[in-house]
Amino acid sequence: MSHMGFVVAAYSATALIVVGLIAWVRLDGAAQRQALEELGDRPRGGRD
Amino acid sequence: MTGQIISLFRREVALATRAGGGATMGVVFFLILVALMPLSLGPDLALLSRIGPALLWLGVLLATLLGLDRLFKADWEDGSLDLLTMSEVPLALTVLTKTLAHWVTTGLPLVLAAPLLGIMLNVEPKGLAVVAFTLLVGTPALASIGAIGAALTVALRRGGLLVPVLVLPLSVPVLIFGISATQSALIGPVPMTTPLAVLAALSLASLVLAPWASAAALRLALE
Amino acid sequence: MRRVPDRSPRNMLQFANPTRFMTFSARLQPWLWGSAALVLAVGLYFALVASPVDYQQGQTVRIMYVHVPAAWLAMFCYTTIAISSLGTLVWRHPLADVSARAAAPIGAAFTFLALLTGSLWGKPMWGTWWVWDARLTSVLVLFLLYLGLMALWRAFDDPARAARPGAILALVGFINVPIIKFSVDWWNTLHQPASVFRLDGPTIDMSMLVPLLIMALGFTLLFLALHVAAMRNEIMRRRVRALRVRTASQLSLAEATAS
Repeated sequence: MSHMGFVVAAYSATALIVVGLIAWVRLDGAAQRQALEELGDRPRGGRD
Repeated sequence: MTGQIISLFRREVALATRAGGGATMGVVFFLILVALMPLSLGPDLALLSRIGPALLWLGVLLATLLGLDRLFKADWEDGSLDLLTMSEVPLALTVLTKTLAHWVTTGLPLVLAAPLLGIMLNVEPKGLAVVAFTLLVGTPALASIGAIGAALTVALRRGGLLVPVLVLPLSVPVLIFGISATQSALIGPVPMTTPLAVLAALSLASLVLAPWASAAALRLALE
Repeated sequence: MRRVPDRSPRNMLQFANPTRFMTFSARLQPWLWGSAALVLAVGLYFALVASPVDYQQGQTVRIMYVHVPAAWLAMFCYTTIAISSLGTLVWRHPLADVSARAAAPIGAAFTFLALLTGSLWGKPMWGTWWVWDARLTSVLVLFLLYLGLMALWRAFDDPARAARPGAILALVGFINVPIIKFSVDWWNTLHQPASVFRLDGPTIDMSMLVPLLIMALGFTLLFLALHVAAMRNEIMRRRVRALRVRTASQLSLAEATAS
């Protein structure tokens, strides 16, 4: 009874959610920066 | 100040019990919920009598949500909430008065209706009395927790949809101890006094603490 | 009168402090991401390679190394929101609300992850996907609290007006979390005797404790990195909103003077 499938599923779910969160902060950040530029505001606090 | 509180209480009760006040709606909704239970679970009287007390508690929990969005909304819309905040009575006390009036007009009818509807679920006579008693102890907590949700959403146009989502997770302890007290009085294994004491503590604590949170939320809505 | 956005000087001052935060966080960010990646890599090595197989749970013990840190973050993140809410209500610190709002979706995601991995652990261990175990149930209620909080924030058009109602709800929820935990524990012991195998027994071996602690640290660093990034986004979002409101009001002013 190794149940490797469940371990793999758990770690994949973790990876998926973590990657999803990172993608969310990246894409959201890019969208906000673009909106700021369109409004003619200089991005603050340097780039990241 | 006491006179003001008493007249506010009278006004609230009068508003809720007049035609269109909606105090009876909760009981009608409760009746419908109880009627739906056998329809969904099957008319097995043995099963219904076993889970009857829990179904009654669940029905009351859902029925108390019904009138909540009107608790502060009408006063907010016509501006009487501004007047209430300006009176010498502290706003938390005003909220407590309104909550108690709300409980008397909506919670108490549910408590009284529960034993009658319990007969339809084949709950034994002792069970009917116990359910009515635990509901009597527990519903003030539901009313005061519900008031927080009502106060937080008072300035929102679609706040009524939000109230159950905010209030129900916070009501979990009341539901658990209400049903625990009922079940332990009927079947054990723990003596009824233990969960009942916690239920009473939850009710008293929320009656004391929740009006502060509600009053703070109402002040924000008026800013 | 009530729905006019607040353009008083107090509100404009709010941008002074976030600007400092933006400069500071821009320098902090690479370190946070880097340390999170490093600690998580070490943690994963211990969790997947260097830790033994449990004689009772087999390979499934490895699920614990992501489940427990996720559950820890679920609580840690709600605590962050509660402390931030205190900052919003007591000191009216402009960053406090940004912090609370940025933390909520991250916390909800990790709470969901804790439920999901708990379910994946439960299937081989308990034989069902879901057991109304005290821990799973109270984490589920915590998840519902997160959802309610996010729903309340979303219901307001103006984020500035949503700040303090959200803070009140977050604090009311935070006071309730121990009560909910207590009541669910009580409910659980009443309904099923403590024969269920617990996720963390009192006798946890060092070989398991080490990967667990490293993973918990890695998850915490990851949360901090995500939180800072989400806070930066939130500050920019509010800046965008403020600029749009200003442009719109200038436009309507110009129209009014032209006609």
